[in-house]
Amino acid sequence: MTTTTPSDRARGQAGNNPTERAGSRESAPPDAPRGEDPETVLTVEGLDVGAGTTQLLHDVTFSIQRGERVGLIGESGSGKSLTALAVMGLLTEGLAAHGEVRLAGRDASLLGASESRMSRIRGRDMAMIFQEPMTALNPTMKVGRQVAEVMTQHSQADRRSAQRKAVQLLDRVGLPDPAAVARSYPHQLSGGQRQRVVAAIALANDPLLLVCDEPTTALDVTVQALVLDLIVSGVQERDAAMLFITHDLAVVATVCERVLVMYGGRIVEAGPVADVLGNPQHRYTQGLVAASDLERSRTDPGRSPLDTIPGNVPPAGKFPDGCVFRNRCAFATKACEQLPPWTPRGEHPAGEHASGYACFHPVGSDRDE
Amino acid sequence: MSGRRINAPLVVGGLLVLLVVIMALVSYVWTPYEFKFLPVPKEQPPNAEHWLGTDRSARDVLTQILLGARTTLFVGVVAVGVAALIGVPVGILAAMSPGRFGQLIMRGNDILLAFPALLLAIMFSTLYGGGTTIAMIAIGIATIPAFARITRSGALQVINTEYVAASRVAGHGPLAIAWKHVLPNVTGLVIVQASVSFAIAILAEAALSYLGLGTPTGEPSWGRMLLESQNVLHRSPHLAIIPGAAIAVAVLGFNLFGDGLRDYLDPKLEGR
Amino acid sequence: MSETQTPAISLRGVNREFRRPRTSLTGTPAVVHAVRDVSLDIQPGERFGLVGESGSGKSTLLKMISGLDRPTSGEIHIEGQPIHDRSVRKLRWLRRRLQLVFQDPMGSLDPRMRIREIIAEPLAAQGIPRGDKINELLERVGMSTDAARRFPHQFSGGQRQRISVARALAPDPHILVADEPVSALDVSVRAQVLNLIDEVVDGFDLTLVFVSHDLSVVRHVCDRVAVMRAGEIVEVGTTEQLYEDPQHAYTQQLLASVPRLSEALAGASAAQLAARTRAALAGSGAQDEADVAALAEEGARADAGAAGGGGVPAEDIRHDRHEDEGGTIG
Repeated sequence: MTTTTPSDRARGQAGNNPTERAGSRESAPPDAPRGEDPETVLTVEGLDVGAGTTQLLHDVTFSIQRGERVGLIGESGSGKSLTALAVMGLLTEGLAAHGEVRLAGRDASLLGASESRMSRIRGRDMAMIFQEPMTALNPTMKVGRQVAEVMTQHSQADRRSAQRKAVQLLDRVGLPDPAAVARSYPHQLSGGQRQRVVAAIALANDPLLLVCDEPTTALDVTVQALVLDLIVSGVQERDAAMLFITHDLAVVATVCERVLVMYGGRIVEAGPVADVLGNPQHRYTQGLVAASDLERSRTDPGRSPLDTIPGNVPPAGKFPDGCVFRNRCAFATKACEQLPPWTPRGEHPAGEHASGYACFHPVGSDRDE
Repeated sequence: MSGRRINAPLVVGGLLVLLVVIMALVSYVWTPYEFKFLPVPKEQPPNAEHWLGTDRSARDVLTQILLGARTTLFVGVVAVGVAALIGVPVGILAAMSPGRFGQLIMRGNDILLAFPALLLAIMFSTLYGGGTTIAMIAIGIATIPAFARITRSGALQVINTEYVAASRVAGHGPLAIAWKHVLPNVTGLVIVQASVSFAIAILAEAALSYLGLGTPTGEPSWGRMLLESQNVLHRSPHLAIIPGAAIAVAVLGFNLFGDGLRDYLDPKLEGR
Repeated sequence: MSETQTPAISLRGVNREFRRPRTSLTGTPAVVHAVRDVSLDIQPGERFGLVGESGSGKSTLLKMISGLDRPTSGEIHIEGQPIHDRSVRKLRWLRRRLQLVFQDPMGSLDPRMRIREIIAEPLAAQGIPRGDKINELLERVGMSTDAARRFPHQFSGGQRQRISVARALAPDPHILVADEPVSALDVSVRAQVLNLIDEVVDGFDLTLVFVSHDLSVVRHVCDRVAVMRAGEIVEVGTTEQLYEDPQHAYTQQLLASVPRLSEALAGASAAQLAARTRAALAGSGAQDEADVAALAEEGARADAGAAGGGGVPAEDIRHDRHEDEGGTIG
């Protein structure tokens, strides 16, 4: 790091003690925009992402508060991973993003921020855990050094103390014999152990925001249960915000408090997990919950067929105008050719986009009977 | 095939290749002059009578270029033909053959690969007499390992796919699998290798001609023209530029055409 | 199911070992025991589930049942006929009795073949005239008949899996083996494909062997389930027995660690799920996650080898193929 702003330095020296960091966060930076809740860690507003003439994300708007764990669910092509990459500033070349992504009340949008500015923020203020831990680690570097490096990169910590802290961190993510793990190369570890190492790296600098993209999809169920706990407790200890991407409804319900449902590059429903998955309003969410409910249908004698959503998920850019779900929806009418407005559902401290749905014929409306 | 996208490299490469082919075909029915020493001044620059000038021996350059196109095509077809016809089956065999046998094939291949192509051509010419055909068969043989290697690596990927397992479950034997699944799925790789090898063969022919082992004196060849021009480069640069450009057009044309053909033949690039 | 009935699939003391490649010139190569002493009878018309984590040996076992791999020792009979000592070339008859649906909906269809040719493959190999069969099959799996002239990449994952099912049904098999057929699919499409499998198994009176790592999917599909771990079957029982009252500690551990939507909506947290998993782990004797992981990775290598995917035990696999295919190609 060659250039450091005063506020950067102040944060860097706040050290790695989570409570100390949390304290320093209380005093909002003077350049914070007026009227914004200081509790809000991530604000995404009107995010559009497109590749050439194909628009992949439409008007994605949500925010995450401090200590809040928000799930992002959707099927392939829904745009959930793209949203995470846009937030992290990791969109590949050829993808153009518009809209606003703001972190912890910082004035300027992260979209279009220079790579050097993003690289200062990534790994320190926000971190990411990927699906495939093997590709997230450098195969030619010992694990301990990789953990230490992320700390020395973002603070003045010297090499030796960073190494010592790396071993402590590996211990905190529940790796047995952390000193031995620090001395090994990634290929010498199991998948679950590698994902723990990735988690240790992500949490090394006590980020404000942790983004997880299907972090346990490649793991066996037993290991998944333990790694999920590790991620959640790591986030809770640091009072960090979390954006958790998965296609597994049971996982998202276990891990998150609030959930965003994406389909066709749009957020179609959002709200507390119990509301959205327990009592969905949008017809897509309803279909998704019903289709994934294997337990209920098995108890029926004579094995009734599973509920399904007809048709297939269209390829990217081939979703219909208006309501993106209308070509697969049994309740679609002429009205659905228009874009359904966002209908807030109850009061939520994080604003009207935190809970609601975009559907002209929500569950329970008259056409249902 | 409806819906298949014609791509730019295919068109541009195809036109350049077509140009070379037309030149070769035209030379069978018409050349401006005969290919011999003419009673005209040597080393003329391009002019009204000799559109591309005359060379050191007062031969018409355009005539040589047209006749040389034949040699160029012949050289490429022989060398790539020999290499592909032997190399591709060897590669598939090596990929589908178990254990030691497959390894043995590839080790033999490696030995051949280590043998310099030009040296092999020189050996062949010494043993069987010079001439373009012999030289190009030698170049072709020396190129077999390149084809075998690339085919094997592609074939290994294919035979580990589930669709090959499905084909075995369907009841197909190895020969049917090689023909129906492996070969079609390695054609893209082979086409690219062929276009590269074609260009290499054209250049090898030029080098061999220079050593007196390729195309004999008195037969037209772009490579030969290029090499004969080197002593007069300072005063008659067109004698190098013209055959050089012809070689460049042919090499570029075949490379582009190869790339374009690979994409054209890939059904995945067909519109959804 | 009477006692005298010939089982659709019968396994007796089946073992499969792979040699790891030598890491030094002098050392002896290590042996990976991918499947250990498996004995099992699957009756005609039964829907049998095979559950296990990665590396449990379920894929290796499935390949042996399908005649794509041979056991190191033990016997496998399909409808009373031995397949354990036959080379792949001598198993042509098996292809009319047993067909497979694979996991990867893209990788299991040749990208250069039209759907028509893909579905016709088993017919062509058996010399059965195709007639109108392609169209009938496409309609049977809920696809329109103009799919026949298109290529695999023009279809979504769920549609490709339907095509795979159509191909498997083409030679009118008695036994359908499905290897993780829905694990690569989206939730909304998964239900469609599970319903389709349900439908064709009933409609064609098939015996089903269904392999999955997903316990809830197996629970939905199967009548009887075997749980595999490290190459061994640790528990077999009816779906009800196994899920309601698991006997083996490992089965208990698997069931304990699955997150469930209903529980989560009732307030179960990640910490509670992990606590339940740890308690079960302690019960099954594993010291910690590392033990579980080490076991799984060892087996995963063996499975990769069985797939022939450039995996560790490639040497052994090639040896087998030599005998199988040498006659035609070598």
